[in-house]
Amino acid sequence: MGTEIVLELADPLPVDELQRLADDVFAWLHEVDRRFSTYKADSEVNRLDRGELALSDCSAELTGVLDTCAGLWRATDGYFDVYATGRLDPSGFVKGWSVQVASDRLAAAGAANHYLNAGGDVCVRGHSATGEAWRVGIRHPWQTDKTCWVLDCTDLAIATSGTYERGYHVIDPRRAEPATALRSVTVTGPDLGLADAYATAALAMGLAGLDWLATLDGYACGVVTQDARCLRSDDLPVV
Amino acid sequence: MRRASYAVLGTIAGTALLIGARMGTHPAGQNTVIVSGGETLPAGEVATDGGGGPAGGPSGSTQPGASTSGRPPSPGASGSKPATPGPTMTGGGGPTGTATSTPQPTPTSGGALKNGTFIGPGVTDKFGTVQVTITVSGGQLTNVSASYSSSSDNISHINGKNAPTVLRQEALTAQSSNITKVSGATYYSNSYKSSLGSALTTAHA
Repeated sequence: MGTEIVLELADPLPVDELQRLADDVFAWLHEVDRRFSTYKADSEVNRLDRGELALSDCSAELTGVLDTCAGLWRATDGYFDVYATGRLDPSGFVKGWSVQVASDRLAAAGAANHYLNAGGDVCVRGHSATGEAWRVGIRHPWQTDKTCWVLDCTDLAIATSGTYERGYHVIDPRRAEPATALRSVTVTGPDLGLADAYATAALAMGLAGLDWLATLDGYACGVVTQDARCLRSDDLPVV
Repeated sequence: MRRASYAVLGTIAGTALLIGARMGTHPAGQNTVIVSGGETLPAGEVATDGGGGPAGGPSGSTQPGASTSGRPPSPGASGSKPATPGPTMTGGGGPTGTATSTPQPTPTSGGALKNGTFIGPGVTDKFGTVQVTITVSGGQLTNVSASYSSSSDNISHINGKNAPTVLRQEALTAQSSNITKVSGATYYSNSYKSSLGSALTTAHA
């Protein structure tokens, strides 16, 4: 799976330092992909799924992720389900989590101002190079070159789950059928792994996801339904 | 907080049939209606596809992510009864707002209700409009559902700051912007990007 990753480091650090920080980010994301990709035959996730590994043989990272996903299954009333597709697939959490970890490491290493986007899941910290807050657009779910919201944000995670790129790929685990009622779900908040899982779960819930999203503490959302209704939290940081 | 209208239903044995009604904003999509008080039912069959219950979706007792679970309707306006589980036959009272008084279905011999599908009048108060539909077959109540519509502004101001939040609806706009930073659904791309200062490499997974 080819995922485009964009990193912008806005701290006025020496170039070789910036290069090193960027290399570390990509090395981490490569490592995550090796371990968790369901598209790599010999990833740890796939080997566990096939029974070639026992859970007790698995890395601390994988077991930690699965533990978090179990909690998310409970928190989403079963709608975030790593087995929803019939095989183990935690990518609805892993994508966001891996970017959050990378962003945390950048901040710890002294890069307090950055934008990291992996396949549409975004962490922004501090401000852009111009000194202003980061501006992140939410893709319009029909018009590919347009945005439907622009967010003015700092120290924020932004996750979007949608059906307009890969089709109805999110499965409603209760009906074991693709969820179709929501076309795009964006969740913003302090943690990108959770935001990613919440967006995925809400998509799986269909229209009931609208009510559920409204109850999340500390996370805001923007949703576009398949019939082109547009709804958002009051506190989504729109421009 | 959403309000459900209440209706009393007598069965053959004269025992009130009670089913819990929840019109709350959580994903439980149960179509049950608490019945108490003296709401009257419209006579006659009505064919309809309206008055359906909350959209089907996640059911279950857990309220994910919410700080409160369950929202029992609050009594408030005169004429309403608090919703409580458990069999109770109470008389009098009625839904909030104005209800059209219509005759009860005439019991047939044996005291059964008249078969058919009956829609109650839309009952509108300042919080919105509630409409109840019941289905009777074999002289027994076989289904009760309620629909509720209101603007989200009404909901959020019913109980002040502790009211459950709902999403605001707005127009879907398409903005052209020079934003290069975009959050969107995951896409596949093998494009390669390099940029100033630090050489950014696209991870080819």
